[in-house]
Amino acid sequence: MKSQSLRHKKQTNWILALPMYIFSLIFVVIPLIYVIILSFLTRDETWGVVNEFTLSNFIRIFDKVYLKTFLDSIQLAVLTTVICLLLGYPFAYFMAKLKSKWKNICMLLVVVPFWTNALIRIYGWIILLRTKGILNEFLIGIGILDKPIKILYTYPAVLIGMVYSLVPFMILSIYSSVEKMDWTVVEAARDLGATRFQAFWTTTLKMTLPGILSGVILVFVPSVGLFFISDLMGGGKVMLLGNLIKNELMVARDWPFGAALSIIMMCMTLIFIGLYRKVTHTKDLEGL
Amino acid sequence: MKKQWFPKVYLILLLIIMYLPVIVVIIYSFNNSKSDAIWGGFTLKWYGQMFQNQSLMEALKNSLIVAFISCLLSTVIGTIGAVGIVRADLKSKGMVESLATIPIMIPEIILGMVFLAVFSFLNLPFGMMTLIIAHISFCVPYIFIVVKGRLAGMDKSIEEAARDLGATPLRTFIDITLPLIMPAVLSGTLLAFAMSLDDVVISFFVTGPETNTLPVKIYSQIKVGVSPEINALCTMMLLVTFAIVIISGKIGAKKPKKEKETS
Amino acid sequence: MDEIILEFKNLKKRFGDTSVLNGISLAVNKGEFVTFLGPSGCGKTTMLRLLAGLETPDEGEILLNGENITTKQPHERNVNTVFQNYALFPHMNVFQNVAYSLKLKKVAKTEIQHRVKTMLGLVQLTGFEKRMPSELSGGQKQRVAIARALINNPSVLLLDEPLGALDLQLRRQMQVELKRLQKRLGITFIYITHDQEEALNMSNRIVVMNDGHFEQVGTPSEIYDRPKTSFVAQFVGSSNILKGVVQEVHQFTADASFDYGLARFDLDDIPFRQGQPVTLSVRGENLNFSKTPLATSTIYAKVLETTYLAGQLKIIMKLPNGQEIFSLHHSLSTEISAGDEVYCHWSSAQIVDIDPSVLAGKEDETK
Repeated sequence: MKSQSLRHKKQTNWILALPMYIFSLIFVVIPLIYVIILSFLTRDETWGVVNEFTLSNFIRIFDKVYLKTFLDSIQLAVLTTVICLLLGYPFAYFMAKLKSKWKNICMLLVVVPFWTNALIRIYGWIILLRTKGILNEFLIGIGILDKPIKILYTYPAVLIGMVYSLVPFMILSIYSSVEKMDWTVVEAARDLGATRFQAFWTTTLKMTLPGILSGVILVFVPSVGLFFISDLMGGGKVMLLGNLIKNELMVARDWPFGAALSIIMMCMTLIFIGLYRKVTHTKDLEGL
Repeated sequence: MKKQWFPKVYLILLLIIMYLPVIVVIIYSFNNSKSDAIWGGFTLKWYGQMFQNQSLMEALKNSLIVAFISCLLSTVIGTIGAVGIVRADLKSKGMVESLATIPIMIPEIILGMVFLAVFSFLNLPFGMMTLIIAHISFCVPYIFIVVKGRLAGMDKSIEEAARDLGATPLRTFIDITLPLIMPAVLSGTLLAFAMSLDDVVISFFVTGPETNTLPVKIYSQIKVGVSPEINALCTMMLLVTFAIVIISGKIGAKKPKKEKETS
Repeated sequence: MDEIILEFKNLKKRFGDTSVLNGISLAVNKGEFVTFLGPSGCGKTTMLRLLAGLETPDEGEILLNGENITTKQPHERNVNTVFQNYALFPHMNVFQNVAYSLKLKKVAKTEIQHRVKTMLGLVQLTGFEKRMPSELSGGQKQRVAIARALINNPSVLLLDEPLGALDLQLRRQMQVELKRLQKRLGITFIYITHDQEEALNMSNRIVVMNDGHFEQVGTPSEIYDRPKTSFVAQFVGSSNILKGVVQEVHQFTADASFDYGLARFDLDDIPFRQGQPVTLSVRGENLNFSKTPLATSTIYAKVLETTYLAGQLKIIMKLPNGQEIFSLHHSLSTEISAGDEVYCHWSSAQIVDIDPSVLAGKEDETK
């Protein structure tokens, strides 16, 4: 029995994690469960909730209006993800090939906006893109346009905002996987007679796949929820799943429906992460 | 050889586009003209107006209080949590870990929604308290991950050596473990501070009618229209964030760099 | 007048389903230099960690100066460790590292100064007080680790492969220094290594470990010249292991038959009887060969290859059953080449892995 004492010591260590555990239990896990329950409840006449089981909140998503928003949001998310990938992959690849001094500088430059307020950066774009904004003035000034065109409050504007806000995630995840890559494998492929392109296609791309997938998740998942970008740059014309959730909660006060939408979004996230783990056989997302 | 220039041009171009909006905001905070397309000369008057704007200053104060308190608490919770998890011999370790990191795995808006639902259910008045709780919830996992990474990379025999030389477990923690994870703790805390200061989405859901945080205030202001005061405010916030990120990067990188130099 | 300082009895330790130590016992005398020698994974590091208090045994007890310390915490035992990778505190300079345990004991400042200075002088690091561990070479780090562990005057010093990370030349130099230090201070050293040369050079006693048990305990010459098991014979200065059956017992010798011939061996007072299995260990340098069979040995082999190894000629041969054996010779001239057929004999062989039934026969006899 005496020999248990040290093992006992080790077991008491987890008490240190108790505050964190309790906190996440009370303020994250139980609330999440509450929201799941909420999504199966009925809405009251006023904006309360009645304890009556229903699936109508989930069925309602197939209403024409909501379904359209949902699909539009997915479409925008896919588009954002593809553009981020196309822009981010070369960036990450080139960055990883820089000399270490420049690499660090480049890294810092990518990371800094990452931490600065997303709103402020979106605000900068508003200033740039407004009808009387800098971009229009500039284009007229150099004679490309003769009268200002409307960019802000259009679909492309929202797309710009989205890509702009999320591209650092893509760059960082791909970068961390290019950085880890064993270049000798690529050299071996070249040595065995692959062209530059073939070598890239058969080795580099395959080896950086975890980074690509993790980047896709890190861009796609938030992009359905960034309601403030479509609010500020889309002028209310582009509705995202995030806008819908926000409106249901803050304006329509239909909590069960808002909860159901959130649950769907969360399931999407979990499915993506699950797929990622399955494909790459790793637990954590690359670059997180 | 001829391809050499392309990567550099591409990197520089994309970085310029990345920084363009930020630079525009900074430049126009010094613009004397109220219309932001025209340069009307250098001025600091918007900064003056900003400091006189009661509601902006109130929001700034709220933001700082929330960031300060939630950071302090999450540093304590996250750090000892990481020590506990790494040093514990627990079978459910993995589960506790994934539970703890939920808040940064799910989209922000869902976390916001979850807090909104649960705080109203609990009848908690929306305001400082709800903001702080919400901010702690997303700061803790961040600090936890940073500190855990540092601890996991630490040679366990260093702590064992201290025990072997006669230090009690508590002394070992104070003399050895804490100083060694301090850079990670500090840089994690600073970055958590920056996150709290910049958070829009979650704050948007849990803020009360009378307690705006700065980002929420900016959000409602931008919706109304562009104003030079906001430019000034944004510039200030950008500077604070830049400073925090650079300082925390320096702290975080200090140790490994030193080791690398001599090896 | 040997005084036992450290004793452990029937130590057992399991990690999950695997048994790492299956009941080991030993008594160590004061001032002794005892080396635990074995391949990685044999349980030697676990045993050291039990002595240091970093692990607790599942069964058994540890006595230090007669006091049971089995469940005492590491900081409660007067035993210190030199860790495999030094484990210096990276945020403290050399002085602070060495002074750490004295500070914990609240020793007066001037005394700390004095003792650290003396100790650093002893390990030839005078003037390095202000250096950080990251500014030291491997050998210097090693000296700091030793100084740090010795400053407390431990009853026993535990060393976990302390020279493993150093290059060959430095390792040889440190072997000499460590041995000298141990003699001078008179502190008991428990030393762990997988390097047989290190063990043979430094120890008073060697404990050969394998798979969680002791294969043999003895002085370096006992271990080297009279291995008791085939494991020891092969691990310490590699040997050829030949398995046969006793054919005919003479007065001091016996003939054993192998599936590839007959050979005579010395009985060494072991009561072998006809038909009992016997295992012989023959060192390469004791194995000779001739073109014709001898009266005492008709073991036949075919030469596979000859190579030069550290100034010696190594001849690898294959027995008819497929087993490979080797022979070492100092003379570089050789009339032997690959493909030749030879008869082997030896000048000396050790009987190893003696079956308990053979010794049981001895008891019967004495009765």
